[in-house]
Amino acid sequence: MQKLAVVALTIAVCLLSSCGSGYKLLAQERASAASALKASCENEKVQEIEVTIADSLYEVAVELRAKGKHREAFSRLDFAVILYQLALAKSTLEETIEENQELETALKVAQSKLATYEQILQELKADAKP
Amino acid sequence: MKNAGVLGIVLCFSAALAASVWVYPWDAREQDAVRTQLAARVADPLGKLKVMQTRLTEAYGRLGDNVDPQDVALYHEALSRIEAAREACRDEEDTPQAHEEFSKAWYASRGAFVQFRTVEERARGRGLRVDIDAVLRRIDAAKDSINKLDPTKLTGMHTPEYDAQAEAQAMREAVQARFKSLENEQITVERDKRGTVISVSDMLFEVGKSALTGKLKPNLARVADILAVNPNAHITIEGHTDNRGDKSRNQRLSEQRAANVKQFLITQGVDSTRIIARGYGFKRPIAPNDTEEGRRKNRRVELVIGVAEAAGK
Repeated sequence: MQKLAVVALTIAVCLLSSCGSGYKLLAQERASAASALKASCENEKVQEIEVTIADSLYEVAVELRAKGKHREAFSRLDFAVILYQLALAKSTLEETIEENQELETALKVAQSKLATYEQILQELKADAKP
Repeated sequence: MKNAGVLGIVLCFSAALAASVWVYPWDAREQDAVRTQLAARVADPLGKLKVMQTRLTEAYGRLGDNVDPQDVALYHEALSRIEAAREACRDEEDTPQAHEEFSKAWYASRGAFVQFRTVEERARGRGLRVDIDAVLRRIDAAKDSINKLDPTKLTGMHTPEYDAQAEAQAMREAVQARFKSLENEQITVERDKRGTVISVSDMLFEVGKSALTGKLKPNLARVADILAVNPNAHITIEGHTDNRGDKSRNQRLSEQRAANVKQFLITQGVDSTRIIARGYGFKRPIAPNDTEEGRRKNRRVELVIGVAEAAGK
């Protein structure tokens, strides 16, 4: 336990004494998240405007990280993550709405057929009456 | 002791973050759209954040049992973004940090809203599937009963042609219902022998000009959305004027207006081969031209939507 506390304090002191390295870690984590989401958007061919904006932010962040400006990079990557998430969510919603529209059409088709069969059945029953 | 260690990490980490000063100089390559959003969203940010939080919580509450861990995580992330933005805006609203935090909260909340809407739509989809299954079972039962009474009666009713006809009819009804939802004071939706007719008042244009104003563009964009999910639908755009002024000028104006509506729909993703644009000048009035009310009705653009026939046929 004592070891854990020492490690924790050491990490905290490192973070406090060097804010830059704190942002380096944060930027690294956000870069991983942004990169994964960016790949998802590309794989799923998401074409929302948010992807364009997030791509720009991501591109700038990569350059900023290379220059050691981790705080600025983190800021942009964090924003890019939010935008990629929004773009993917919008794309999924659109797909779901389209699926539901197809289901609605299928339901109407089925109801239309049912009405036809029930009408035939009523006519047959009426004819069958003596 | 373990807790103290973890607490130490969290506290010191937070302190390190709080001690830093955000600098947010936008790179020239970063989109104008983002800057516009930032500028537009900061009027009364605390009030907006409060509304944002209330709506988010309400939307989350509506999900009931349909939530999964991903939805819960998004909800809490959006809430923490809102809280961060509130903190940033509390002392000074017009700082880069406040702008940035507000913007992040806004987009994160929007993401959560969209996700919650998806959850609701999925639940609706499950309901539709249940309804379809129920109808299909009733169809089977009806068929069985028919076959018992007259085994020859259903001959010819299982053909692809029969199914295609039923599907086309259902598609027409579905499209009509969706377009009907567009109706307001400036837009009427009727059905006649040409198909579904969306009549848009001349508020869509500047007076005496063919350029589209912004007033009804969202409605036209909605038309494009509906067309996008109905690939069998095609559209004929008809421009009409009242009888004031020169005949050839009215004819030209009606053609240009129809062409501009067509162009707008193309920019919204509708395939140009599905659209025909025509101008009729004042040749096809729908009301007498001797009153202002009648002339107002005659100045219009009609979007005639048909289903299951290719444009241009």
